[in-house]
Amino acid sequence: MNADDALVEAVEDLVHDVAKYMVFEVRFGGAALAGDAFAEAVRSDVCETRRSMNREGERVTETAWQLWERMLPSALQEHPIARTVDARMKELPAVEWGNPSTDWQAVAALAQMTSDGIRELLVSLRGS
Amino acid sequence: MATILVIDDQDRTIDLCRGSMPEHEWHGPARSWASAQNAMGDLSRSIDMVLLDVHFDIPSSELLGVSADATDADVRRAKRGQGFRILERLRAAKPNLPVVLMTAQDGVGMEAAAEQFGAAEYTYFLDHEDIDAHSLRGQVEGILRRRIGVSVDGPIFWGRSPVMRSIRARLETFSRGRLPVMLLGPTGSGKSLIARHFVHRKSRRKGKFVAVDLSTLPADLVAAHLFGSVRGAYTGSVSDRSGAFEDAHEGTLFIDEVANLSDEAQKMLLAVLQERTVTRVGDTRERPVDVKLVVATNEDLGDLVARGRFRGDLYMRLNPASAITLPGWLTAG
Repeated sequence: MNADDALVEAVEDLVHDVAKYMVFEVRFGGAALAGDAFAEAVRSDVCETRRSMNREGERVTETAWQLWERMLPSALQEHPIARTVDARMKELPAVEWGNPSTDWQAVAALAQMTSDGIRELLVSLRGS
Repeated sequence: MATILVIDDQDRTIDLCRGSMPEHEWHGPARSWASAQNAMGDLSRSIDMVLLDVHFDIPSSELLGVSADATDADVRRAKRGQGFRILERLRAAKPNLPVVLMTAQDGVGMEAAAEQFGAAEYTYFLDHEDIDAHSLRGQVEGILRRRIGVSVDGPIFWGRSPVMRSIRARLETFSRGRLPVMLLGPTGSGKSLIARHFVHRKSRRKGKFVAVDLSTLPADLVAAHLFGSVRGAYTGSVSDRSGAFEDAHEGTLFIDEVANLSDEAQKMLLAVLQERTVTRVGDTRERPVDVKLVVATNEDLGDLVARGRFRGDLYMRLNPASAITLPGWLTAG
């Protein structure tokens, strides 16, 4: 496997683990989601993007931005699309997640744009 | 209800499945082939279906297909196609078990890889990237119907026997008609579930489903509960209240343990069935009601009639010719 292939695979993992799951429950619920349920789905998608169990059997969660930071190959940190995604990711921790009057539609749109950016990065790498 | 095992390194999918399809029994997630084997061994019931992820981010020691001298690239590849390795083992152990592979169309060459790893007639593909509650439910219910031949109506599991098919068919016919439906069977045979999830649904009535369990109501309040009451009709009646018949107007009223009706309440119920109107206790005004009535009992009503404990005319109005006796094992949960 050459370096380019490895980068593509790394971004495929990002698509699988981050891009997909950071908009997962909102898409799953679809139009039926409203009010508190919608807010909870957005929060769950972004703040518990990965929900699993560690080797000690304890439940662990990771946010979308934590996963992004952990999984983005250093070789891609200066890639223009990655920088755009990174900027969007950095907006997410600043969201007032506990505030009911937060504009959840706007947060969901930001999550969707961030997710789309990761997919765009993959397309760009495959095409290059 | 079906028993479905989810094999996935994440909790997200099973959490959503449990929330959106509570009528099924969900197990897992099994995070590796080893834990899937344990789960299958631990379950007292056989599994009807498996939802299987493809990409497993788990320690290399738990991955199938990773040798001791594997490179990082080998491990990464094994993680990305782990679901196919698990599918291969599943197929060897349970060739006819329906397995839904949850992956992205944009990922590895899914169809080709599935063929390579022995996917056959009982393997289905679900685009996990684009899944929503509606499509997942459609996929799950469709497979349950087509592949294992079970009929699923909400939480009701009909099984495959000719007897159960016959019961279901008769119930469907009776549900659409105007006459009452009588359900007989022991406690726990699912009479209430049948009334709510089958008769009411198949009747296609636009009103509510209302259930009254006469075994839980004080005898002196049964009439007011069923037919309504006006202020002062009985001690503590401080306002006019509608009863279950009015509440279920244009819908379905399920009366459980109908044999518990007092003589007076039997008389009032008979009047409702004859006149299609209800008169609240203490009132004279007749109010029209259009209700699909379902009654249930675990007693032999015919015997009670013979012994003078249940009105014969009411018994006949309850349409005993359509009585359906449910076996004790109809529902699986």
